[in-house]
Amino acid sequence: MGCGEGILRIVFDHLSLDKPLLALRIVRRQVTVCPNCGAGGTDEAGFAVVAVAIPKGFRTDFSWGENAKEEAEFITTGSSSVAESDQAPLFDLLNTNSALAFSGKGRVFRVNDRAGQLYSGAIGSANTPGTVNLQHQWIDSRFQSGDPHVAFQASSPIENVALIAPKTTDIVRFAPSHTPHGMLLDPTQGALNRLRGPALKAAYYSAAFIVRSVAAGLLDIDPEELDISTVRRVERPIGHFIGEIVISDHLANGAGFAGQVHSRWQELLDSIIHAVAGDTSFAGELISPAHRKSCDSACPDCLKHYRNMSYHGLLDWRLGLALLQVFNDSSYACGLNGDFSGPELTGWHHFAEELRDAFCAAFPCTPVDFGPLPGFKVGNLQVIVAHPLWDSSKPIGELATAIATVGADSQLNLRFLDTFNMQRRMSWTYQALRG
Amino acid sequence: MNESIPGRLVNDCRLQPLKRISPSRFVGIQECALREVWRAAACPPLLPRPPRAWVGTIIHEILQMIPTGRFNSRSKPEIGEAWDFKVAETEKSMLLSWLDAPSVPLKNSAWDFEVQKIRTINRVFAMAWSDDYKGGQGGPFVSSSELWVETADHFVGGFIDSVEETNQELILRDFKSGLINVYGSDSTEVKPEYVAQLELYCAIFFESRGRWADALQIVPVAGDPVTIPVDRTKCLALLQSAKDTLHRINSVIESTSDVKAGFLELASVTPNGCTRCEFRPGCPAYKCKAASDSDEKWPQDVTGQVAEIASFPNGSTAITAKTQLGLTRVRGLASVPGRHPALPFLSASSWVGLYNLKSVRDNTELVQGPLTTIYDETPFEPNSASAITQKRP
Repeated sequence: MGCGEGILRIVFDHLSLDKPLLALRIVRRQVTVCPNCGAGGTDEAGFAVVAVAIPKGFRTDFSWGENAKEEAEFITTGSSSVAESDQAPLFDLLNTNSALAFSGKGRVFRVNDRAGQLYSGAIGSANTPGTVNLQHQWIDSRFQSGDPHVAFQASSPIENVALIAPKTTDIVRFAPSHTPHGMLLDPTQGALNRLRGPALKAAYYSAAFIVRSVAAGLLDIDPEELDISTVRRVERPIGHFIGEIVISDHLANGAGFAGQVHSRWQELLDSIIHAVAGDTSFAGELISPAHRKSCDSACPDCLKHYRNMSYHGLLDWRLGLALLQVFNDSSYACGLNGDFSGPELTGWHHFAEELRDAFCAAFPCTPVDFGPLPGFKVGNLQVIVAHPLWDSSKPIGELATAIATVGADSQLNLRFLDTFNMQRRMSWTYQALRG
Repeated sequence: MNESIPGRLVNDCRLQPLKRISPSRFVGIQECALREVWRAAACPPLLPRPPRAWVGTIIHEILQMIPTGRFNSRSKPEIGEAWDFKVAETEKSMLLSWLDAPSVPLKNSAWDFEVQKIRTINRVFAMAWSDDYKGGQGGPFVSSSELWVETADHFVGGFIDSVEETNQELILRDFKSGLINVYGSDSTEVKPEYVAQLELYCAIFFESRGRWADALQIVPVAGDPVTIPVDRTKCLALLQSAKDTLHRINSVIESTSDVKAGFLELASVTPNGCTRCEFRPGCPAYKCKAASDSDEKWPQDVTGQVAEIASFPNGSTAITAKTQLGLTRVRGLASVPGRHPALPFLSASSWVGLYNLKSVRDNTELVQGPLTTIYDETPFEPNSASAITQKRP
């Protein structure tokens, strides 16, 4: 492949601990600490500086090639879309619990880091005896030798790079202004607390896809006009982390749709929060009795589409809707106050009990109720089943009442599982508990 | 030690002989005599008190209201109101200290605040109207809360949380808001310091009132009370040990002419003890030992000379200090007004002490934790010109 104009360096923001959450900032100098907060630059620290290249073009290997992949041969790539970290501050929107920012000339990058492995290669010359002599070729190490047609001679040291495709377009970012008491909104908790898994990240992505679909209805556009660029972890204020959703226009140089999402945010949010079950809107269909009955997380009628296939395992319309309630109102309790009447929470208790019973039927556990919440005992552990958005490190309401049923000394053996992980990966959850 | 200039470490605490030893501090005094001497002399703490400790005090005060008949309406809301009142009162006093003010409100800083509230209400509700807590057999029933007892020579004394007495039975109780067992998920062994405390009370009660207790009970805020058998010989031996300890400490204090030498003789520097000590920024023994020892079990503190101060766009500050172990960098220090009064006054070559830091990312980085405290430890001459320019607002 041909190399671009030198290698830039991307600072993979340490605030994001896994790939879909990557925030990035391009710098053209050596960076040893995070320019935003001073975190040290080591891979272990979750803050990494990665060399990137923008390919000028690609060439064939001068062979006859192979047939194109059939559509059914879905290939998982290591690419993801991320938006450049923007220093523009988020501004709180009155009468909501949302903080928003809009960038008219934001940079969005399609990143292909080969699933974290990066591309390893070098610049050199490629020669086919008697016919071709190509200089300044950047060839991946895997293809530098063994080709009977082309001989490659490296003239530079091996370098490891990710490939990026930059785009300038409109970007809207939004995050909760405040974290309601008793709730946890840090999307990277899965990396910090093993039992949490990706539940919080799932809430943000689910909310993002709901917003995109509702915005498409509001603006009368195809949802594909808006890209879910990133969900990333932001520090707001210092020491307190929340998630930020970044949506960009699909078209380069912007089509104005991200700007509409920004300027009509309250209208958009209202149409979700105050949707009438069964009306013709996306949100109305989402909370219609028929859909609530038939869809326990996400389905092709709501959030799952062909083009967001890599997110299917994360999508859950109830979780997304609960998070959007947070974007609307900082006093939203998500059932912690005992009110489970909202469409995103109706039946949650019963659902949690069903999951608990199924779990106990599959593994050697004894069902136990902890006050208002279901749970079980496994070995010397006591496990409470909680909502994914509840903060078990600062319990209030229903969760506090459940914990209070356990003695202070027994509390050391108390664990929490959320319904998101129990529903999707029961065996992993059991292993995580035992581990 | 002087707390009047927030963020500046001034050590002016002296050694004063102990008047008495309290049973609640007996094990602590064996851990580090200097800490208990400073506590007894009412030296202002140099580090914030953990929020859970404040909540523990509130729980104690609520439980002590039971024998007073304060809760007579048989209603949980009444107990909840008492809780809210105590919390407000406590937070008001916390706001007076620059060290403790950042921990207000307690519902945000004490992670299990609401759990403890529910437990306390349930415990009070159960105790206030339960026969199990009304003296057992025989009458007449006498119940006392916070009963002062001391030995005839006044060397050992303190308040017993609850005493319930009939003609046939005497029960001494101590309330505990946290773990009562030795730390470890499967342990059922009661913490030895809690046992020793009750046994000392038992011996003092006998010495002062001539009656041995029939039962000693540790009452956790949740879960069943733990009964400790009365071993009279052990109780009396403990009491004698407490008196001997008092005399030993006082003889050190009275015989020393050099205050610093006295500090060093009385201090017992251990990772566990020093982690819980609110005086360690002013303790020469701790600083001498911990600063030159890279054992990870020491409290996460950094003291040294400032090499670099850097501010970042997210509003945080990083300090790199030259310590005895080399350059150490601490990041994520909040620049919000009032959180670290010393921060604006630090510059390259200032002496700095950063306490209660948090280690993150496999101990590769030190960052600010909820109780992190920064002191400007630059030698301070009260009458010098620099003292005038360094005055805090």
